[in-house]
Amino acid sequence: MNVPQSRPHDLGGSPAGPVDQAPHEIPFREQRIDAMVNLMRTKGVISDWAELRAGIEALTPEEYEQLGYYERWAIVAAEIAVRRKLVTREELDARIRHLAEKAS
Amino acid sequence: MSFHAGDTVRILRRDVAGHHRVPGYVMDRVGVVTEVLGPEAVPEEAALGHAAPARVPVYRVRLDQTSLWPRYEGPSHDTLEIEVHQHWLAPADGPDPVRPET
Amino acid sequence: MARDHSHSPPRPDHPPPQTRHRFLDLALNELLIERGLYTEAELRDMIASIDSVDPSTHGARVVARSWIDADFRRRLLNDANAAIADIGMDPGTAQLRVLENTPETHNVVVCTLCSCYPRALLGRPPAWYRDREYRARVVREPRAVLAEFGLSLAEEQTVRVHDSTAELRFLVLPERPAGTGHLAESELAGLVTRDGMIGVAKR
Repeated sequence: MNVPQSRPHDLGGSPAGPVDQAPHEIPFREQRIDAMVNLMRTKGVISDWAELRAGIEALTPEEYEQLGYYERWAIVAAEIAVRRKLVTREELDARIRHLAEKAS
Repeated sequence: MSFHAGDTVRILRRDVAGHHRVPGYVMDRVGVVTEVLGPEAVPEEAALGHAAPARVPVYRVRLDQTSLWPRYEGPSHDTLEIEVHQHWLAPADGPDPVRPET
Repeated sequence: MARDHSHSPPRPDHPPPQTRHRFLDLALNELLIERGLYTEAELRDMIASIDSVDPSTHGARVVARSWIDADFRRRLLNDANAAIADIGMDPGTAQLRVLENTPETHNVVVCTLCSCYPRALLGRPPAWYRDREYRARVVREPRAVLAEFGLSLAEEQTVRVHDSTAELRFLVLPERPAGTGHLAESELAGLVTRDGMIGVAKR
C-alpha cells in the first residue's frame, strides 16, 4: 500500500484568496511558545529545525488548517520532548487537566 | 553527480515520505544553477534527529516563471529562485516534458 | 479484581482536543522548567531577546548603511554575515543573502513550505508572511500579489521571487530613493520598511 503523503504545508501555487495584511499583535502566549521552542533548540532538545518542520508537516491537513501557527509548534515541541524522555505523555495530560480545572 | 553555476538541471519528482525541502510546484521543472552552496546537512536525515546527517552540496536554481505556470500572467523574463539539495537534481539537456495544465 | 482496581489511581483521561490545544504549551513549559531544561529567567530573557529585534533598528540600519557606504554595500552583497558582524550587529546563525533591487530587477521573498525569514534582521515574520494566501500565491502570481500591497511594477522590470525553503535567509535591499543625498544614515533608515526588505514594497 503506497498512499501518497498529504503535504498540507506545501502551499506554493495552490488556490488562495487575498492576502490579509492587517497587523497582528503577537499575544504573550505565542511569544512564550516561540521562546520555549527556541530554548529547546539552543539546549539541543530539538537537534535541527528540520525536526520541528517534520513534525509540523506530519499533522493532518485538518490539524494544519485549524491550529494556530504557534499551536502547531507547541504540539510538535511536546512530541519531541516526549521522544527525548524529558516528559511523559501521562505527565503532560495530567498537567493539562490540572491547568484546565484551575482555569474553569 | 555535482553541478556548476550555469548548468541546466532538472529538479526531480520523487515521492518521499517525511520531511524534505522541495515544493511540489518545482518538481520535474528545469532551471539554471546560479550558485553552489554547502555542503549542508541532508534535510531528510536531519529531520529524524540524526546526530551526523550526510552533507551534500546545495544549488541555487533559477527557473523561468513561464515554465512553472502555463498561464503565468507576467512577462517571460520573470524568474523564481530556489535552493535544491544535490540528490534532488539531474542534468537536463532536453526540453521540459509535457505536463498537465495546472 | 474490583478491590485492586479501586486502589489504583484512576487512569488519567486524555483531555479533549480543544482543552489539550489550549493548555498544552503552558503545561509543557511548566514541566520543562521543573525538569531543569531552562529557568523562568532564561525564558524571559529569550522572549526579550526575540522582541529586541526590530526591522527599524536592525534591517533598516543595514540598508541605510549600504546606501551611504559603497564599500559596505559591496561587502554586504558579497558576504552579508561578515559585513553585518563588521558593523557590530548580530547576523544570526543562518547564512544570509542580500538581494539588490535595481531599476531592472525587483526581488521578493517567500517561504512556501513554512515561514523561513531573516529573523536576526527583521524579527518575527508578520502574520501574512506565514499565512496560506501569501505563500500560495506570490510564487504563481507575484505581480498580482505585489499590486495588492500597492506596488505596481513595469513589464520591463524583472520580478524575481525567492522561495526561501532551505539554507539561505534573504534580505531585500531596496533602491535608495531619489533626492535623499542630504540625509544622514539614521534619517535614511527611517525611510526603510519591513515590507520593503521582504520585497512587497518599494522601500
